[in-house]
Amino acid sequence: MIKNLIKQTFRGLGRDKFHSLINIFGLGLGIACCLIGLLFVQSELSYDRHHANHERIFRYGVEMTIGGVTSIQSGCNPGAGPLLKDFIPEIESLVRIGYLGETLVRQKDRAFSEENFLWADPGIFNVFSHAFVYGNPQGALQRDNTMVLTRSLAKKIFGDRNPLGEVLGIENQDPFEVTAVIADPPENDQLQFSALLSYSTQFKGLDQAQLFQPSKLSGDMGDEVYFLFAPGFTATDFDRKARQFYEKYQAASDSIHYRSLVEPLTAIHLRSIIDSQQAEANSRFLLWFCGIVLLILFLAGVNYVNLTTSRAGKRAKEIGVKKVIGSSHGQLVLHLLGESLFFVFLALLAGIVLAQGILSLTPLNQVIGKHLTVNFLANPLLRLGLLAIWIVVSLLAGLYPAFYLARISPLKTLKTRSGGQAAGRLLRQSLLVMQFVIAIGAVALTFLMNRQLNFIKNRDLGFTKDPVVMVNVTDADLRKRSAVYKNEILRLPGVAAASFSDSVPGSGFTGYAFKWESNNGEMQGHAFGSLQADKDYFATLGIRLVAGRNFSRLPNRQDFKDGTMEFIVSENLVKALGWEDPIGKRCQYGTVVGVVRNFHYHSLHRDVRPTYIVQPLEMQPYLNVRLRGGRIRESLEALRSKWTAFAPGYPFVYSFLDQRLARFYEQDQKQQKLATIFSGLCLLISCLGLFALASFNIEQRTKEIGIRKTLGASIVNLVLLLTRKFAFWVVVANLLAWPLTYWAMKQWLQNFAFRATIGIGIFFLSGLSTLAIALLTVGYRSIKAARANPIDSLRYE
Amino acid sequence: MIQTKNLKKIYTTEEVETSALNQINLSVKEGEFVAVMGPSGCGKSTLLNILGLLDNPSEGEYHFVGHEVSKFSERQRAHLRKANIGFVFQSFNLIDELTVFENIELPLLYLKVGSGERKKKVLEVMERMQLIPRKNHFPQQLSGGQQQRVAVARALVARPKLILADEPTGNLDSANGDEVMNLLSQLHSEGTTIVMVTHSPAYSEFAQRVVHLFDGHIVTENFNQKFHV
Repeated sequence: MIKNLIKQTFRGLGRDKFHSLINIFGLGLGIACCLIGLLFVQSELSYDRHHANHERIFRYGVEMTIGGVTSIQSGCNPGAGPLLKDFIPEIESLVRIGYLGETLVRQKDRAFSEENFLWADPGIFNVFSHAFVYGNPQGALQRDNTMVLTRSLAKKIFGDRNPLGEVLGIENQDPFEVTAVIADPPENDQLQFSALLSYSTQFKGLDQAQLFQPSKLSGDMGDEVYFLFAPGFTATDFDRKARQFYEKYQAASDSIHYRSLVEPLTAIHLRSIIDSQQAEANSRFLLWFCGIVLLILFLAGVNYVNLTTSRAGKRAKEIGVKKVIGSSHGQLVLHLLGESLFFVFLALLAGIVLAQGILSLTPLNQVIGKHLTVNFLANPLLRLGLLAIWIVVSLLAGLYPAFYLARISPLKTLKTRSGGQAAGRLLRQSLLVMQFVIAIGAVALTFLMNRQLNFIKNRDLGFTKDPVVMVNVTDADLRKRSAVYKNEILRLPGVAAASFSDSVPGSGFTGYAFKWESNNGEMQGHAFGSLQADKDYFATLGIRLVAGRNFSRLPNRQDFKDGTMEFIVSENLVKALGWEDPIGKRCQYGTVVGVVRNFHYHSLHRDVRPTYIVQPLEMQPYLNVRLRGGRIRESLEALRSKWTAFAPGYPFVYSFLDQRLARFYEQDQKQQKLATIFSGLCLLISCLGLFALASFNIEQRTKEIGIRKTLGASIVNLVLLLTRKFAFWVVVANLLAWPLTYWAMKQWLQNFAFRATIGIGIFFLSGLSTLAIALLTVGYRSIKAARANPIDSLRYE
Repeated sequence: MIQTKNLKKIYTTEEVETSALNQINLSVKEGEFVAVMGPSGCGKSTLLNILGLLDNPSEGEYHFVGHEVSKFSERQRAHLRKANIGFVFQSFNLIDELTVFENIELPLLYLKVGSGERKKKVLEVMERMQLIPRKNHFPQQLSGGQQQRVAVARALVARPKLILADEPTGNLDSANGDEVMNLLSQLHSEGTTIVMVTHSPAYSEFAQRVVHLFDGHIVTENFNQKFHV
């Protein structure tokens, strides 16, 4: 029976190779998307669950109210963890985490610039589960100036040898001894790091009892704390105890309504209340992703139903004959469902190949920040998921066609070429319109994303178009001497200008609040962006001075105390304060001597922040170098060789201004890529659906086409007749899609402070392109039908 | 009007070559009524398709209203066909979605006849076929005989020189069959050339001449007595 079934199905596939291929490919694509969705969900839901104690681990947070505004943050004072642990015996263990940021690591005469170094208590190995490659939890991070490397960093620095006991230099610190090597944190661990430094080192030689006091908890809030609770101790229990702690020690001196709270480790990625913005973004993305994936599977399933029922005419006679010679309704349904199972199995195989293809050949993995692969051996859930997809899709996509075909009356099917099939036409057409609404929307949004990103790319950001190289001078000792390096490179022929600053675009940008003179002469507090840079900065970055003059002299500490510093402000700072004549206006620390054009130090997601520029009192960590156009590689090499002579053993770490500015839009570019993949898939699947319906329609009208042709209709007449209706549907889909898409576009553009105009052109372009693709799809099928010899359709009646 | 020389039609599938027509030499004069008879599969319909310019012969010549058309392209055949030939089929072949009026109007539409003249011509032929009361009906609402009358009306409306009828009475009961035959006979008496395929010896007597086909050959040609008395 099964052999018979497989044989018949294969023959059926072979007889109609083109449609079978389209059908298997279309459904396979849907299944591939579903598989990827499954892997993505699996990865998202698995965050932090690999820690053995994950159910008992909680992250600490602080809620505070300043000036009527309540906020929650995970950052807290280094004393918060130990003080609470002393007060609450149910806290079994804790780890404090401090972020070191970008740092320079030196091993003998080699140096590496590294990110993701954390300060951590030894308790990290009690709270979290990390596999040790060398060393053990007892010895690691106990003493000051000890460190733990991840396997990949250890390999990078020491190769394959055991590095225990080796010493590494960390910039601005005493040397650290390597006490353990652990496996890299998996990608679904929300706490990512490449090395851990013993937390106690930061307070070496200080009186910790003096430092860590309840009254000081509302200041210096930069670290994070994770607790391991005793079994049975809950977040509610913690709240109660923390309130007792507050009443006893903090209430009297509290000015910010300090409130302690905790949240489960496993909630951090998707349901965090402490870092709710990121968690909401994560869960929104997860929902969005699942929605898209299910939608694509659904549309592909609908296509399968459409294609199968559209082929019904060809099957109807076979079924009629089987019924006449005694097959029961049930047997027929079972047979057809069996076919569906077998067919979906083939689509499943195609889906697996397509899924792996999409994951390894498209930028999808990079876009969603994962390393998903289709690996059955290592992933039992995937095997289960595949089985579920197989059964569910077979039944959902197979049931309707099976009952539909088995229901056909044997008399009708033997008498005519196809049973009456008007039923379900409205449903099919509605589904088609829906598919195209989605496809048009996706295409239009992709166009808009392109337009917005081009808009950003081409916008005048207020900087020079010449290449600007930014060299990091992170080491404090080196920084003191870096003026020497600046003088050296200014003599190079390829260098046009150079200057020091405290930050570069994207490196973090600080702001300070102090008093500024208003128009009526009163001094009022305002917070503005702050940039410390020397007088060459404007020439180096091409920022234009529009009023007043540049800095005239170097300031010293006394100028700061006396309020005699020189200030240069941006145009929008002048506007913010409503100054008519900015030159000579006073602020707490000095006088405004010049005004510069606005420049986009941040991404265009944000408005340009009003900013003042002052000269630094000491050398700053970034050296900005403007190169002359052309021969950039040679100039860069010259910079490097001067650096090697100036600072032997220190890596030459640099970046280009335009690359730094482009980095602001990485996320947007990823979104754009995802949108392109998605809209391509939508369009492809919609066209498969359209093709199915066009075939269905033409098959039903074969006789009519023959008659019309006999009566003198030309091919053009017939193609117009056959495509007219589909063109109409696509136009209807356009009319429905446009307002919806317009709304979606408005939402997306909210992310930017500077927005491209939406413009009717985008709608026309996406409408016309989808219409053209749809007409090509239908046109191909129609021309084939119109060219057929009419006698073939009229002969056997 | 029609003249064929050594007409041959061969159908080729992957393995088998079937000869449907072999050495057909047939001529039909203007105003003649010819019936083609023969058993199933003898090539009657193939012959009619070639005569009707729906298909090309594999070999031989076919002269139609002065043109040698055996090598004509589909486009050329279509051009000649729509101006000169009307078809009547066994299964009527009306378009279900169109009304009686619209079905009859169709050939004129493809001939790009202006709408005023179209209406006039359609109503004329409808009146003649007594179809006026059925003007807005759809094919399914009519009896078989009525449907075939619509088909004949459609074949006539463009005033073709030749009417090809492929078993026009095959799907009809005898009363309706008689009615259709009387109609064709009347058209013939008015000067229309008709070639008709039929299984019915009785209806073949309506024709002036009966051509018998067997295995793709013309075996006999009989002239009907009543037209030659």
